[in-house]
Amino acid sequence: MRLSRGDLHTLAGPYALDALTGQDRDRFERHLGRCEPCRQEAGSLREAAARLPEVTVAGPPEGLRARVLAAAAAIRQAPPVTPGMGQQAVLARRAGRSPVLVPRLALAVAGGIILVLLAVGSLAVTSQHRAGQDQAHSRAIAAVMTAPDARMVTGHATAGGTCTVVMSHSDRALVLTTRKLPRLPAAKGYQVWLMGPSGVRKAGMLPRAHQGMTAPMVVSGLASRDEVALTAEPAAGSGHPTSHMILVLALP
Amino acid sequence: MGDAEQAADPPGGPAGQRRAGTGDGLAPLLTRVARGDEGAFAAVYDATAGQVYGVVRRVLRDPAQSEEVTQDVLLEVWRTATRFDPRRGSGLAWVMTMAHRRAVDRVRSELAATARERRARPEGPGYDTVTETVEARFEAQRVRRCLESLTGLQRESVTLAYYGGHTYREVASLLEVPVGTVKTRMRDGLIRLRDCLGVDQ
Repeated sequence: MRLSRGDLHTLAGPYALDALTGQDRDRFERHLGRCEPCRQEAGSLREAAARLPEVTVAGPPEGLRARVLAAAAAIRQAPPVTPGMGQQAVLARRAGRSPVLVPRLALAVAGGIILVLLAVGSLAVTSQHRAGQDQAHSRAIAAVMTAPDARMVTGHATAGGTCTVVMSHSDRALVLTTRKLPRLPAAKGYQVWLMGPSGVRKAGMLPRAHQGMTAPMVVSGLASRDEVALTAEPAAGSGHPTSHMILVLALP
Repeated sequence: MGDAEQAADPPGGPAGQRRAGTGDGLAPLLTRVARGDEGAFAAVYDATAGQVYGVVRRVLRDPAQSEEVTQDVLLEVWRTATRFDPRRGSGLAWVMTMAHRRAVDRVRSELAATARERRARPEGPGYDTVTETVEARFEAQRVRRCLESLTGLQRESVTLAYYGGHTYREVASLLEVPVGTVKTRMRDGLIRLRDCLGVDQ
């Protein structure tokens, strides 16, 4: 069904209310690209619609503010639109369907990890008091979690507890957190290993757990067909695994 | 759209921060956010979170989903503030458009199919809402008064689409009127609302 020009014009109302879908919306947006007065009108109707939330103001859930501010500190901002990017500017305005959006899954994953971070209380410290190294750490975490191919895997350790990994092959890195692993004596710690076809590589010591959870650690140098493993080692770490693997996590 | 118009409605007094969301005190804040200013982002959060969460919740109903979408929207504000262009509209419209679109996109996605079945039948704007300041209450009353100046069919068309998250075809079916009628009522209704609120450019 083809809409006439007059029909198109009346779509400014439904458009400003986000009551257009699919083809109708695309057609109307193409029309806006050619019709300056229509763009003006659609803009002014958007301004009117933007006041409708005044009537439904509601207090956001407790904790959301801290979570959002902490997450923002670890998210890289999009580059600005520069001259010559006219069409992309239009696209960018089509928020919610823009191709440059961080994938929803990645953000949701980021949200989950951020929750862990907040529970541990480390990120608040990171974002406000410490600088430099920790900022780089936050950025490395965000890079993995917002990668287009970010995937999340969780595994159970043989002695209890879980390990959650968010990984990105394109970034060749992963972010790892654990929950409720058995406590170790002070002289010992958990060591992370990457195990691939060419052997076992050291991937660092897991930070000490707070309230059963470890702050996220970033492991780089991920190769295809790697698996993640955990062993208990002397606190200073070992050159190669000296105890049983308490967990082996296959990666997608 | 026009900043000149909104500049005549200055933020003021102790409620200035809240007012930033209703006039375009938001535009300069967004410009600072675009340069990575986390303090400005906190101010944008304070000025808009109540409206964002409120409208998302009104559309989605489900508190957990609403919280998730609100977080998504505000982080998207942070991420894409670099692309906000004050010449093309107010900061408030930029943020609220993002919020409302995300909410209706969620409603229309399969993900929300189940939650949607649980949604109560859409209703008009509620009056059981939190308003933090006298000025916020004043703004809400002004919007309500202007909504009341619409004809019944205009008001129902606008509110079913906006707060109910329905497409204009769905609204036509709910109201049992032809789609052509609904389209024009939505446009006429918004024009009347715009003129009543004085938000034209």
